[in-house]
Amino acid sequence: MREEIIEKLIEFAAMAFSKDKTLINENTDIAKELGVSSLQRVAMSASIENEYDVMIPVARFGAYKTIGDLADFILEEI
Amino acid sequence: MKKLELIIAEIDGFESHIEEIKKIVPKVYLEKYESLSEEEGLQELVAGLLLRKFLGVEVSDDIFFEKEGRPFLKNDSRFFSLSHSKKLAVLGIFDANIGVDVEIISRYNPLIAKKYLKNFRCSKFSYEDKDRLNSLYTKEWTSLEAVLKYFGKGFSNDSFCQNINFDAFCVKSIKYGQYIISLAVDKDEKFILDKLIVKHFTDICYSL
Repeated sequence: MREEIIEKLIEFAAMAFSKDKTLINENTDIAKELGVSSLQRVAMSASIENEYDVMIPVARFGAYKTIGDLADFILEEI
Repeated sequence: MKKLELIIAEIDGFESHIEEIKKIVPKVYLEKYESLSEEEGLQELVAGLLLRKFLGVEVSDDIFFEKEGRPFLKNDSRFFSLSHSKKLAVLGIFDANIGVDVEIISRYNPLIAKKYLKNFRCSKFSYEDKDRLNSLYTKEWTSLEAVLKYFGKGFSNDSFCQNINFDAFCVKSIKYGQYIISLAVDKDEKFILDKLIVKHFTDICYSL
């Protein structure tokens, strides 16, 4: 299940942050490697909410350092 | 009539002066530079430099941050709002409350439009109109963010974001190359917009 979520998050992150999917993995640092733009974070958050019905306010994105951390949070919520 | 200053800085013109900028920006912006990606770090450095040059912010103690991160000047009654996107940083300065947002023109995202831009109807655009769709979508988004910044709010409260009464504001949007800049002030404010374009470090730093 966790692997599936990570795979989805990589897809969402690539779309939201306009990055190459192959450069994103579980250990990707969200702030340092993807970015802090609110529009991009809202796009990622909206995709997560649409897929898993889990809301992550943009202000809370900073609480999750990596894609893996974000996946763990979603796993707890669903 | 009041003057609303809008300083638009093209970040490419600062890239070869990073070491000089690091020496003169308030520490808080240096810390942001060090914690972010190269692109976003440079945006923060240029933002810090604009504060230094146009508002006299020399040290971190010259500004303070509200709970949700909105900065204010400690010893100056003017309001300011900073925003950056990709290769552009924008600073708005006004005698009254102001919110400014800039974004590179972005691809229309139906999930975001559905959630936050309730009055935006993409159905009126045909496929051939996609550039116009993206421009108007980005304009709507930056208008929303400018108003949120007027309130010093982020996206932590969806209900607040979704129920803003735009009639209470004067919101103006400007297209600058591939970017849309929006600014929001109280609807009763009358002002002259004074734009300054800064293309290079030396345009503003000779006098520091």
